[in-house]
Amino acid sequence: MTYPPNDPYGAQAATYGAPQPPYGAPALAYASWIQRVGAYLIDGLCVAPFSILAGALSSNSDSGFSAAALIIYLLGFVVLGYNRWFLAGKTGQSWGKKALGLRLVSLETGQPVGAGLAFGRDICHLVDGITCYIGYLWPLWDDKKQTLADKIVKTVVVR
Amino acid sequence: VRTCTYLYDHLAMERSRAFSVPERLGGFGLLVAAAAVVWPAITDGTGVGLPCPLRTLTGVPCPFCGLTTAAVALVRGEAVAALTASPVILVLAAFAMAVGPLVALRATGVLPPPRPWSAQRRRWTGWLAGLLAVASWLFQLHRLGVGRVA
Repeated sequence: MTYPPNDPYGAQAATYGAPQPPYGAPALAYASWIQRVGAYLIDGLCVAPFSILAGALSSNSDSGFSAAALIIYLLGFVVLGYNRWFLAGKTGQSWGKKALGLRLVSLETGQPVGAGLAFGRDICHLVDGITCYIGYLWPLWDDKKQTLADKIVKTVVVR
Repeated sequence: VRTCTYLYDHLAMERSRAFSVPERLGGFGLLVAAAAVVWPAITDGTGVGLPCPLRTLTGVPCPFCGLTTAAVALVRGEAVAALTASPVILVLAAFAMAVGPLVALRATGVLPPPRPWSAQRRRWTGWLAGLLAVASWLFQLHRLGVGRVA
Protein backbone atom coordinates (compact mmCIF):
# COMPACT_ATOMS: atom_id res chain seq x y z
CA MET A 1 0.00 0.00 0.00
CA THR A 2 1.31 3.37 -0.94
CA TYR A 3 1.13 6.55 1.08
CA PRO A 4 -1.04 8.51 0.86
CA PRO A 5 -3.39 5.52 0.39
CA ASN A 6 -5.60 7.24 -2.17
CA ASP A 7 -2.72 8.38 -4.36
CA PRO A 8 -3.82 7.18 -7.81
CA TYR A 9 -0.30 7.30 -9.17
CA GLY A 10 1.22 5.11 -6.50
CA ALA A 11 4.88 5.04 -5.69
CA GLN A 12 5.97 3.83 -9.11
CA ALA A 13 4.62 6.86 -10.95
CA ALA A 14 7.56 8.88 -9.73
CA THR A 15 9.83 7.30 -12.30
CA TYR A 16 7.71 8.21 -15.33
CA GLY A 17 7.44 11.54 -17.06
CA ALA A 18 9.72 13.39 -14.70
CA PRO A 19 12.67 15.10 -16.40
CA GLN A 20 15.46 13.16 -14.80
CA PRO A 21 18.79 14.84 -15.52
CA PRO A 22 21.46 12.32 -16.46
CA TYR A 23 24.10 11.53 -13.87
CA GLY A 24 26.84 14.12 -13.80
CA ALA A 25 24.78 16.63 -15.73
CA PRO A 26 23.95 19.95 -14.06
CA ALA A 27 20.47 20.01 -12.58
CA LEU A 28 17.79 22.07 -14.29
CA ALA A 29 16.39 25.27 -12.88
CA TYR A 30 13.94 27.89 -14.06
CA ALA A 31 15.47 30.47 -16.37
CA SER A 32 15.70 33.97 -14.94
CA TRP A 33 13.70 36.84 -16.36
CA ILE A 34 16.75 38.59 -17.78
CA GLN A 35 17.91 35.42 -19.56
CA ARG A 36 14.47 35.08 -21.10
CA VAL A 37 14.52 38.72 -22.21
CA GLY A 38 17.91 38.05 -23.82
CA ALA A 39 16.59 35.02 -25.71
CA TYR A 40 13.51 37.00 -26.82
CA LEU A 41 15.70 39.84 -28.11
CA ILE A 42 17.88 37.41 -30.09
CA ASP A 43 14.76 35.87 -31.63
CA GLY A 44 13.62 39.40 -32.47
CA LEU A 45 16.96 40.27 -34.04
CA CYS A 46 16.64 37.23 -36.33
CA VAL A 47 13.58 38.73 -38.03
CA ALA A 48 14.50 42.40 -37.68
CA PRO A 49 16.45 42.53 -41.00
CA PHE A 50 13.34 41.36 -42.86
CA SER A 51 11.14 44.00 -41.21
CA ILE A 52 13.67 46.78 -41.80
CA LEU A 53 14.22 45.84 -45.43
CA ALA A 54 10.51 45.47 -46.12
CA GLY A 55 9.79 48.77 -44.35
CA ALA A 56 12.45 50.52 -46.43
CA LEU A 57 11.06 49.06 -49.67
CA SER A 58 7.51 50.09 -48.77
CA SER A 59 8.50 53.65 -47.96
CA ASN A 60 10.42 53.95 -51.24
CA SER A 61 7.48 52.92 -53.40
CA ASP A 62 5.02 55.58 -54.54
CA SER A 63 1.89 53.79 -53.39
CA GLY A 64 3.37 52.70 -50.08
CA PHE A 65 2.89 49.10 -51.21
CA SER A 66 5.48 46.94 -52.85
CA ALA A 67 5.23 43.30 -53.88
CA ALA A 68 8.90 42.82 -53.00
CA ALA A 69 8.25 44.20 -49.52
CA LEU A 70 5.32 41.82 -49.08
CA ILE A 71 7.46 38.84 -50.10
CA ILE A 72 10.19 39.88 -47.66
CA TYR A 73 7.60 40.32 -44.90
CA LEU A 74 6.32 36.81 -45.62
CA LEU A 75 9.88 35.44 -45.61
CA GLY A 76 10.40 37.05 -42.22
CA PHE A 77 7.17 35.45 -41.01
CA VAL A 78 8.36 32.03 -42.22
CA VAL A 79 11.68 32.49 -40.39
CA LEU A 80 9.78 33.57 -37.26
CA GLY A 81 7.50 30.55 -37.47
CA TYR A 82 10.35 28.13 -38.08
CA ASN A 83 12.34 29.54 -35.18
CA ARG A 84 9.76 30.26 -32.51
CA TRP A 85 7.15 27.64 -33.29
CA PHE A 86 8.73 24.71 -35.14
CA LEU A 87 12.19 24.71 -33.52
CA ALA A 88 11.04 25.87 -30.08
CA GLY A 89 8.18 23.38 -30.14
CA LYS A 90 10.14 20.40 -31.43
CA THR A 91 13.45 20.87 -29.61
CA GLY A 92 12.49 23.31 -26.85
CA GLN A 93 15.04 25.77 -28.19
CA SER A 94 14.53 28.69 -30.52
CA TRP A 95 17.80 30.28 -31.68
CA GLY A 96 17.65 32.77 -28.83
CA LYS A 97 17.02 30.10 -26.22
CA LYS A 98 19.76 27.90 -27.69
CA ALA A 99 22.26 30.76 -27.54
CA LEU A 100 21.52 31.25 -23.85
CA GLY A 101 21.15 27.57 -22.97
CA LEU A 102 17.42 27.74 -22.19
CA ARG A 103 14.67 25.27 -23.05
CA LEU A 104 10.92 25.64 -23.32
CA VAL A 105 9.25 22.57 -21.82
CA SER A 106 5.89 21.43 -20.57
CA LEU A 107 5.45 21.87 -16.84
CA GLU A 108 3.67 18.54 -16.69
CA THR A 109 5.96 16.31 -18.75
CA GLY A 110 9.26 18.19 -18.83
CA GLN A 111 9.36 17.60 -22.60
CA PRO A 112 9.21 20.05 -25.56
CA VAL A 113 5.63 21.07 -26.21
CA GLY A 114 5.35 20.73 -30.00
CA ALA A 115 4.90 23.39 -32.67
CA GLY A 116 1.16 23.80 -32.09
CA LEU A 117 1.46 24.69 -28.44
CA ALA A 118 4.54 26.84 -29.09
CA PHE A 119 2.38 28.78 -31.56
CA GLY A 120 -0.48 28.91 -29.05
CA ARG A 121 1.93 30.21 -26.43
CA ASP A 122 2.95 33.08 -28.68
CA ILE A 123 -0.72 33.88 -29.30
CA CYS A 124 -1.20 33.88 -25.52
CA HIS A 125 1.60 36.45 -25.28
CA LEU A 126 -1.18 38.86 -26.33
CA VAL A 127 -2.46 38.44 -22.77
CA ASP A 128 0.96 39.45 -21.47
CA GLY A 129 0.76 42.61 -23.57
CA ILE A 130 -2.88 43.47 -22.99
CA THR A 131 -2.35 43.42 -19.22
CA CYS A 132 -0.20 46.55 -19.65
CA TYR A 133 2.88 44.33 -20.12
CA ILE A 134 2.61 43.04 -16.54
CA GLY A 135 2.37 39.50 -17.93
CA TYR A 136 5.85 39.85 -19.40
CA LEU A 137 7.15 40.93 -15.96
CA TRP A 138 5.45 38.08 -14.10
CA PRO A 139 8.61 35.88 -14.07
CA LEU A 140 10.24 38.51 -11.82
CA TRP A 141 8.16 37.38 -8.84
CA ASP A 142 6.59 34.10 -9.91
CA ASP A 143 7.59 30.84 -8.20
CA LYS A 144 8.04 29.08 -11.51
CA LYS A 145 9.17 32.22 -13.32
CA GLN A 146 6.30 31.90 -15.79
CA THR A 147 4.70 34.62 -17.89
CA LEU A 148 0.90 34.62 -18.00
CA ALA A 149 1.18 32.92 -21.41
CA ASP A 150 3.26 30.18 -19.79
CA LYS A 151 0.58 29.73 -17.16
CA ILE A 152 -2.18 29.44 -19.76
CA VAL A 153 -0.41 26.76 -21.80
CA LYS A 154 1.35 25.19 -18.77
CA THR A 155 4.94 25.67 -19.92
CA VAL A 156 8.14 26.65 -18.16
CA VAL A 157 11.51 27.84 -19.44
CA VAL A 158 14.41 26.01 -17.82
CA ARG A 159 18.16 26.26 -18.10
CA VAL B 1 2.88 15.02 -13.40
CA ARG B 2 3.09 16.17 -9.82
CA THR B 3 6.51 14.61 -9.46
CA CYS B 4 7.79 16.73 -12.32
CA THR B 5 6.37 19.90 -10.84
CA TYR B 6 7.81 19.05 -7.44
CA LEU B 7 11.19 18.29 -8.99
CA TYR B 8 11.29 21.67 -10.71
CA ASP B 9 10.11 23.41 -7.54
CA HIS B 10 12.78 21.68 -5.53
CA LEU B 11 15.42 22.63 -8.07
CA ALA B 12 14.17 26.20 -8.10
CA MET B 13 14.54 26.37 -4.33
CA GLU B 14 17.98 24.85 -4.52
CA ARG B 15 19.55 26.68 -7.39
CA SER B 16 17.74 29.77 -8.58
CA ARG B 17 17.02 31.50 -5.29
CA ALA B 18 20.26 33.47 -5.48
CA PHE B 19 18.28 36.68 -5.85
CA SER B 20 15.13 37.42 -3.91
CA VAL B 21 12.06 39.01 -5.48
CA PRO B 22 12.89 42.52 -4.12
CA GLU B 23 16.39 42.17 -5.58
CA ARG B 24 14.97 41.14 -8.94
CA LEU B 25 12.53 44.07 -8.90
CA GLY B 26 15.41 46.36 -7.97
CA GLY B 27 17.47 45.03 -10.86
CA PHE B 28 14.51 45.63 -13.14
CA GLY B 29 14.27 49.17 -11.74
CA LEU B 30 17.93 49.80 -12.62
CA LEU B 31 17.26 48.53 -16.15
CA VAL B 32 14.28 50.88 -16.41
CA ALA B 33 16.47 53.78 -15.23
CA ALA B 34 19.11 52.95 -17.86
CA ALA B 35 16.41 52.67 -20.53
CA ALA B 36 14.87 55.98 -19.40
CA VAL B 37 18.20 57.72 -20.07
CA VAL B 38 18.28 56.64 -23.73
CA TRP B 39 14.50 56.49 -24.26
CA PRO B 40 13.96 60.16 -25.31
CA ALA B 41 16.68 59.87 -27.97
CA ILE B 42 14.89 56.84 -29.46
CA THR B 43 11.39 58.30 -29.32
CA ASP B 44 12.45 61.73 -30.61
CA GLY B 45 14.33 60.18 -33.54
CA THR B 46 11.88 57.50 -34.61
CA GLY B 47 8.53 58.53 -33.20
CA VAL B 48 8.01 55.09 -31.69
CA GLY B 49 6.60 54.84 -28.20
CA LEU B 50 5.30 52.33 -25.71
CA PRO B 51 1.54 52.44 -26.15
CA CYS B 52 -0.85 51.42 -23.39
CA PRO B 53 -2.82 48.52 -24.91
CA LEU B 54 -5.87 49.11 -22.71
CA ARG B 55 -6.01 52.83 -23.46
CA THR B 56 -5.41 52.28 -27.19
CA LEU B 57 -8.22 49.72 -27.41
CA THR B 58 -10.79 51.15 -25.00
CA GLY B 59 -9.73 54.71 -24.19
CA VAL B 60 -9.46 53.80 -20.50
CA PRO B 61 -6.03 54.35 -18.93
CA CYS B 62 -4.45 51.46 -17.05
CA PRO B 63 -2.86 51.50 -13.56
CA PHE B 64 0.59 51.76 -15.09
CA CYS B 65 -0.05 54.61 -17.51
CA GLY B 66 2.45 57.44 -17.14
CA LEU B 67 5.31 55.21 -16.05
CA THR B 68 7.53 55.90 -19.08
CA THR B 69 6.98 59.65 -18.64
CA ALA B 70 7.66 59.32 -14.91
CA ALA B 71 10.83 57.25 -15.42
CA VAL B 72 12.26 59.71 -17.95
CA ALA B 73 11.44 62.65 -15.65
CA LEU B 74 12.96 60.97 -12.60
CA VAL B 75 16.31 60.16 -14.23
CA ARG B 76 16.44 63.84 -15.27
CA GLY B 77 15.95 64.79 -11.61
CA GLU B 78 12.45 66.18 -12.17
CA ALA B 79 10.85 64.50 -9.17
CA VAL B 80 7.64 66.55 -9.17
CA ALA B 81 7.01 65.86 -12.85
CA ALA B 82 7.66 62.17 -12.23
CA LEU B 83 5.24 62.02 -9.30
CA THR B 84 2.60 63.92 -11.25
CA ALA B 85 2.82 61.39 -14.09
CA SER B 86 2.80 58.25 -11.90
CA PRO B 87 3.60 57.89 -8.18
CA VAL B 88 4.23 54.16 -8.79
CA ILE B 89 7.66 55.14 -10.11
CA LEU B 90 8.63 55.90 -6.49
CA VAL B 91 8.08 52.25 -5.53
CA LEU B 92 10.26 51.07 -8.40
CA ALA B 93 12.89 53.71 -7.57
CA ALA B 94 12.93 52.52 -3.94
CA PHE B 95 13.62 48.94 -5.06
CA ALA B 96 16.31 50.18 -7.48
CA MET B 97 18.00 52.20 -4.72
CA ALA B 98 17.86 49.27 -2.29
CA VAL B 99 19.18 46.56 -4.59
CA GLY B 100 22.85 47.63 -4.54
CA PRO B 101 23.24 47.74 -0.73
CA LEU B 102 21.07 44.62 -0.35
CA VAL B 103 23.18 42.53 -2.74
CA ALA B 104 26.40 43.90 -1.20
CA LEU B 105 25.28 43.11 2.36
CA ARG B 106 24.30 39.59 1.34
CA ALA B 107 27.53 39.04 -0.60
CA THR B 108 29.59 40.08 2.43
CA GLY B 109 27.59 37.86 4.75
CA VAL B 110 26.22 40.74 6.85
CA LEU B 111 22.72 39.70 5.82
CA PRO B 112 21.75 36.02 5.57
CA PRO B 113 20.85 34.64 2.11
CA PRO B 114 17.21 35.17 1.10
CA ARG B 115 14.72 32.52 2.12
CA PRO B 116 11.44 31.78 0.35
CA TRP B 117 8.51 33.54 2.00
CA SER B 118 5.65 31.66 3.57
CA ALA B 119 2.48 31.23 1.51
CA GLN B 120 0.65 33.64 3.80
CA ARG B 121 3.30 36.34 3.47
CA ARG B 122 3.26 35.98 -0.30
CA ARG B 123 -0.52 36.23 -0.33
CA TRP B 124 -0.51 39.40 1.77
CA THR B 125 2.14 40.95 -0.45
CA GLY B 126 0.03 40.05 -3.48
CA TRP B 127 -2.97 41.83 -1.93
CA LEU B 128 -0.81 44.85 -1.11
CA ALA B 129 0.45 45.01 -4.69
CA GLY B 130 -3.15 44.70 -5.90
CA LEU B 131 -4.25 47.57 -3.64
CA LEU B 132 -1.37 49.67 -4.92
CA ALA B 133 -2.47 48.96 -8.49
CA VAL B 134 -6.06 49.98 -7.70
CA ALA B 135 -4.87 53.22 -6.06
CA SER B 136 -2.67 53.92 -9.07
CA TRP B 137 -5.57 53.20 -11.40
CA LEU B 138 -7.79 55.74 -9.59
CA PHE B 139 -4.94 58.26 -9.85
CA GLN B 140 -4.58 57.68 -13.60
CA LEU B 141 -8.34 57.79 -14.18
CA HIS B 142 -8.37 61.15 -12.43
CA ARG B 143 -5.30 62.38 -14.33
CA LEU B 144 -6.22 61.19 -17.81
CA GLY B 145 -9.96 60.56 -17.60
CA VAL B 146 -11.87 57.94 -19.54
CA GLY B 147 -11.57 58.42 -23.25
CA ARG B 148 -9.73 61.72 -22.96
CA VAL B 149 -7.22 62.14 -25.76
CA ALA B 150 -3.64 62.52 -24.57
